[in-house]
Amino acid sequence: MSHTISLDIGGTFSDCFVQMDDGRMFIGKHSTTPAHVDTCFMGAIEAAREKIGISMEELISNTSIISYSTTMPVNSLIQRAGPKLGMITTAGFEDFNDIARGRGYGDGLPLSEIRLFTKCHKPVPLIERRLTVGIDERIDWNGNVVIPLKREKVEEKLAYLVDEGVRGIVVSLLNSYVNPANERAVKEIFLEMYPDKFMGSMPILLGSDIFPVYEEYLRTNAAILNAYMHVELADALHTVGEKLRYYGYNKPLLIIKNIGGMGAITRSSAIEVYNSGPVSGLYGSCSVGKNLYNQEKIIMGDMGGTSYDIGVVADGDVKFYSAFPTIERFRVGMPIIEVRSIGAGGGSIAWINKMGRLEVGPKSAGSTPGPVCYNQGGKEPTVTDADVVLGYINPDKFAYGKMKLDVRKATDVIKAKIADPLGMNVPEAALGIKRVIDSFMGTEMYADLTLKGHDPREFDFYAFGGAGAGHCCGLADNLGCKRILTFPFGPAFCAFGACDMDIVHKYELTASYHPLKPHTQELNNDYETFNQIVQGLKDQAIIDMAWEGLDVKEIEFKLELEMRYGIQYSSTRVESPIIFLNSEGDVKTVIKTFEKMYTEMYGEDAASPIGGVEVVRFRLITSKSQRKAEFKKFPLQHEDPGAAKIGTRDAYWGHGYVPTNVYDLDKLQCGNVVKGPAIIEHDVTTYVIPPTWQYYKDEYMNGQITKKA
Amino acid sequence: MSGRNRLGQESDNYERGKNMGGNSVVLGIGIGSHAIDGVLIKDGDILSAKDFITTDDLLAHIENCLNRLADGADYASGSEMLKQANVMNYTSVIADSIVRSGKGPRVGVIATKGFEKTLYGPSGCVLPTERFVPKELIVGLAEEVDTTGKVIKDIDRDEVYALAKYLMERGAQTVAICLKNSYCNPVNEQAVMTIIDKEISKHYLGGVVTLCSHEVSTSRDDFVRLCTTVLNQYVSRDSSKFLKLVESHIKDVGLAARLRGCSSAMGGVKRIAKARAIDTFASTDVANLNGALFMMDKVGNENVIVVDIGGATTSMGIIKDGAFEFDVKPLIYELPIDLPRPALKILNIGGYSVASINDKGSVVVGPVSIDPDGTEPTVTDAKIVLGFDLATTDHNRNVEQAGTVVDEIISRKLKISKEEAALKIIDAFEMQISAAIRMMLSAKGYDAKKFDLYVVGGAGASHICSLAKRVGAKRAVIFPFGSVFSAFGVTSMDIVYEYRTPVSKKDELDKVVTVLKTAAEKDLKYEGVSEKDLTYIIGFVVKDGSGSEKIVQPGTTNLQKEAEKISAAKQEITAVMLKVSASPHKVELQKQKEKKAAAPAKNGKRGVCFSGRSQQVDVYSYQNLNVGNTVAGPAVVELAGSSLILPKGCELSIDAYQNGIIQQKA
Repeated sequence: MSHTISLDIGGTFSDCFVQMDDGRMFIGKHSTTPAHVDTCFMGAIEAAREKIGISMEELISNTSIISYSTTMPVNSLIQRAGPKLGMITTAGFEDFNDIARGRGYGDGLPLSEIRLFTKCHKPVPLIERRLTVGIDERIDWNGNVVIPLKREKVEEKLAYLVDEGVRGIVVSLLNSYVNPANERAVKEIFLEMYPDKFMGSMPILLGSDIFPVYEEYLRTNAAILNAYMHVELADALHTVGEKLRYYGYNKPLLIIKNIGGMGAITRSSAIEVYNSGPVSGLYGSCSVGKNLYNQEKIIMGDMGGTSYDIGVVADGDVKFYSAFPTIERFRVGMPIIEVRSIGAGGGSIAWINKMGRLEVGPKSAGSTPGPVCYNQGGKEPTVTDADVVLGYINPDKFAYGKMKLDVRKATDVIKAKIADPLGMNVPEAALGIKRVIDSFMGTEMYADLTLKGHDPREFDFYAFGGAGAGHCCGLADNLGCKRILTFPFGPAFCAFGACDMDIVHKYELTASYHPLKPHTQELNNDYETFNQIVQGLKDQAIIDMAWEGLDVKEIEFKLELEMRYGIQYSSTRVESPIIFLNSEGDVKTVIKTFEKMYTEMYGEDAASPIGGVEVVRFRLITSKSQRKAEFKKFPLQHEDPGAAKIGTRDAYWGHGYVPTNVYDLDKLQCGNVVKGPAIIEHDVTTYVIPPTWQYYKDEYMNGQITKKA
Repeated sequence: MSGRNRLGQESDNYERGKNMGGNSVVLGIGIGSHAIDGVLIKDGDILSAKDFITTDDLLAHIENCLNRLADGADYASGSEMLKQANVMNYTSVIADSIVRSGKGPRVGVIATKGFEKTLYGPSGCVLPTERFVPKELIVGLAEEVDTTGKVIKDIDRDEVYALAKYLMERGAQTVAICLKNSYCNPVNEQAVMTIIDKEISKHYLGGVVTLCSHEVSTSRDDFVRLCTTVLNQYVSRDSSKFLKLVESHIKDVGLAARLRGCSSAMGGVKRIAKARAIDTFASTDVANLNGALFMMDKVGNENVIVVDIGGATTSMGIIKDGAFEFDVKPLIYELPIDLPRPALKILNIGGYSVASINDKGSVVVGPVSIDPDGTEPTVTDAKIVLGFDLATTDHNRNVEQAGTVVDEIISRKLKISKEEAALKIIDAFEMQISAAIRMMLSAKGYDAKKFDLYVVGGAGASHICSLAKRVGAKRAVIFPFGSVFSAFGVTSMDIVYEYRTPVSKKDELDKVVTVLKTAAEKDLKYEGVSEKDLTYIIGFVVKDGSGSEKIVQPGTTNLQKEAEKISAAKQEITAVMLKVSASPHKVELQKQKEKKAAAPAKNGKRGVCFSGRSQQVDVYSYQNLNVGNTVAGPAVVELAGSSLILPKGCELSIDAYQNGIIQQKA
């Protein structure tokens, strides 16, 4: 027996997706407990287990893969409660982390705040200035040691940091990406002074190990963030591991990576986990689209309690890395699959701005205290409160029926904080809240597609997340897509995506190589240099994949090159069709691939081969395909959904409350069509089908929502 | 510089005494399991403070304790006091707490193949390491180094990979690499560590901390080396995390000086960064011994039994002829550990130990200790019932509540009065302690009549007279800062570093010592001590024919010649030890003049039950007693947070250092 279980820890809810060895799929949800990840992790599995009807031991001990992803940065980062860190950098550069970059003011802030640029503040560094010390050393751009380390001085700086009580040290020296000798020497000195037998021993992380690329600020941020998140995440995963072992799981826990793919925790860094949840959702969308619907153009929207995540699948692939990858408020520069997060979710707070206009978000009530209707002390009206007032959400069946919602409190708060100040009645105000949030999300998605050069009308919209099915039609009106797809496991779709991933590792190195030489326009015939760099990355990959228990013959290698024309600053990511260069033809192929990609992006006139073509960064991605989720196909029945009708409820659609048909999602049969206005209920989500839309349950039990004919 | 020991008037929470020379500001902190103890020595004054631990926020309790000290010394704040402190030392029970809670990390062991089941110990026995290492996390590696250090079989890299993978996938968080005979050639251990550390990189989330046994211990006994490594790894992660937090917090609050922790190994203080977690075991007890060593010179006896009665444990040690007795290989939680430290006996009973009735109908105390506000009777409850202790405001326990738990759990079942039940609890408690003391003395062939008894710790004063009588000690001595004695003891500790390296050739001795001295100079440099202030003591770890080890100090500087003498005595030098110490500050006490004062003022009367019947006795306040005063029993002398119970026939006299000397009246 070999079930698979995947977990996605979100800001409000933690989701579990279980695929049994017989193909059955189950989901479970549990409130996220940021300070005790193991609680929500095991709680979500327990919720799924209840549905399956077997014991935890039976489920977990017969599971072949358990994977973990998360939507949120670790709690310590949000609360700045991470370990006290020290940093060693090149003397004279001690302030660069505080200075950040020009656009550091805006990094990680929502657009609404970046617009008020003069009021933005730079992020508070994760390492105090007094704990950042400089050492006399210098490695030049070419990797030559210009000023060697002075051992005694290094020892003094290390002793200072250790005596200040730091719990981890980051070493980030100038140009270490090209020659890490001095960084490694600092580490060696530290390990000699404070070997593991002493309590002064602590993690010492090198920028050149974590992210060996040029651009000091980005390299250093990656190392600092990794160190900052490492302790809490490692402790949490160890605790989770203990609990899983208790139930008989003896295999490695896998974590989902933001590059797309998963790996054993023993082969993965903390920074790779950041925002891996939405990335899973995107890969899940891609997989479903490709395998079930032959659809290569998909926009996904994951609406949870705190945020709304948007991602794009184009040409049947996940193509885009984030242009400005930022973790919390720190730019990192490492490739992270682009999934844009905006402050919109069921917990988003509705408020009236100074101009007297209704706004929703980006502030969220989260899971604690949560919306007012949760009756947990929330004081501000939220999107969920509006949905309850509008009659869309059944107050007695929320979250498996375990949480009774207080309609009266939701009504009162909307009346007091929105309706009365705006001179509206309560249902009008509630509908206003829904329309504002739907419009905001839809417009953002529209912008995302059009700015990438796509036509939204050609895209399917995959709506998921706990609140996704309730708002998909409203925002699709703004997006302009023609078909929405929903899934029975939609409330835990990112967890589903995590279950559908390959084992992936990424290796990166900054090095300069000119396939086309500047000025002379000669093709480079020094294949050895190129091949040595790739082979170095491949050697690392083989060690890691062997650790994962994989044979090198099973591994697929993909080489990505960051390329540019000579004297350009920015580079373009190119997927090289060739791993090693062996002939002039190979070199030409690499150049042509770059030129094609470049001209597609910037136009033919923008090409500038006179300056030569340069590779500035090598990235080797290794993967091993894993078992994918299997969808059963069911025979289609008649269109009439009558057998699934469980009653009627008064719901507000804009012109007074009207009795609206309510259906049970599990009772709907493949082929059934539910015409709006209608409400379809499920344990952990509610489908809201407005009057102009209709829902069709297809042969995979997925929902296709389209405009009525 | 003039000083007289006086207790402060300002607060119940601290005591004051003038007694030291110098103008330095010295702080001592004792981080216990139930209270944070603090001592401030400033401009001739000694102040002490105690903050009972009532929440999980230990840092807040430490800060409270410091604030109380600062308040007593008229500093504007604790932060201000820390800024002016020249020295700050601490002791901690964190390592013991980790073991007792059972919440250490999952420790994996890589041993030489064939020894996975015995771990080099006697076969067929239950391994004492089971408490610390799950069986499934012990793996064997095919390798061999013989007893001469020759590598018979190299390690296989792929095998190390497979073992490390196995351990990490099963949740090992730290790995002890303990290969046979690594003491004489650690090459295989080092190779394993290099592979795990460098190739299985630590910046990964599932990375492990590795430690080779040869780094922690030079013992030739593989089992001892393994136990030492395992125990260190079990407590290292959380000790380090906690103590670094303390250091970081105190630095952030304002401490400009170095913070040094007491290391029980060899008895001394050092920077946290250069201490091993295992060194902190019993550091509080070692600090007590150090404090006693300091005070015995003033009291006037070179032979002392030191007993510290705390909340959960009672520890005891002996000072004979003005020196500690050393234990080269103490048993810690049943593991033989290569940690030469002052010899100690530690009992799992203390003031908060639970009293119960055993199968035979007898009252027994411990080993479980509980929250002092719990529903089971403790030794402290018994003392409240008997009037030995006043119910304190710290734990919300009043006389009625204490009486109720003693009555419900003990007296009703035995059909005796609650006072009789309480006396039985005290008797059972003191019996265990006195038996342990007698055993310690008799094991060495010492006569108790030649020893003074120092009883310290929060629960010490109420038991001292009874214990002195049970043991047959010459005199008993209490100190005005006895309830925070370890915090006092740690303030006067030297900076001590100890280095050891195994040797196999006699002609290498000088070279080895030179290497050790170089290492010492570097370490002491970061203690802020210059080379000229260092004192070096060279020792040989010598193994005799029976296999037991002891430390021998060479009589001359000619090490070769000394080594030959040892060889001639058919003994073997297994390792060279270098102890380096420095005394950056001195604490001096000054005698006070005797006052021709009248008899000490009484502080009312109190009902105390000495032998089943309550009687009203005179009560004195220790802080009002002056040099030369005497108090005859039956009486009660109240100290901050505890009471000295003087039975009939005992007499307390205050000496020139305001210590209380208790003797049986002639």
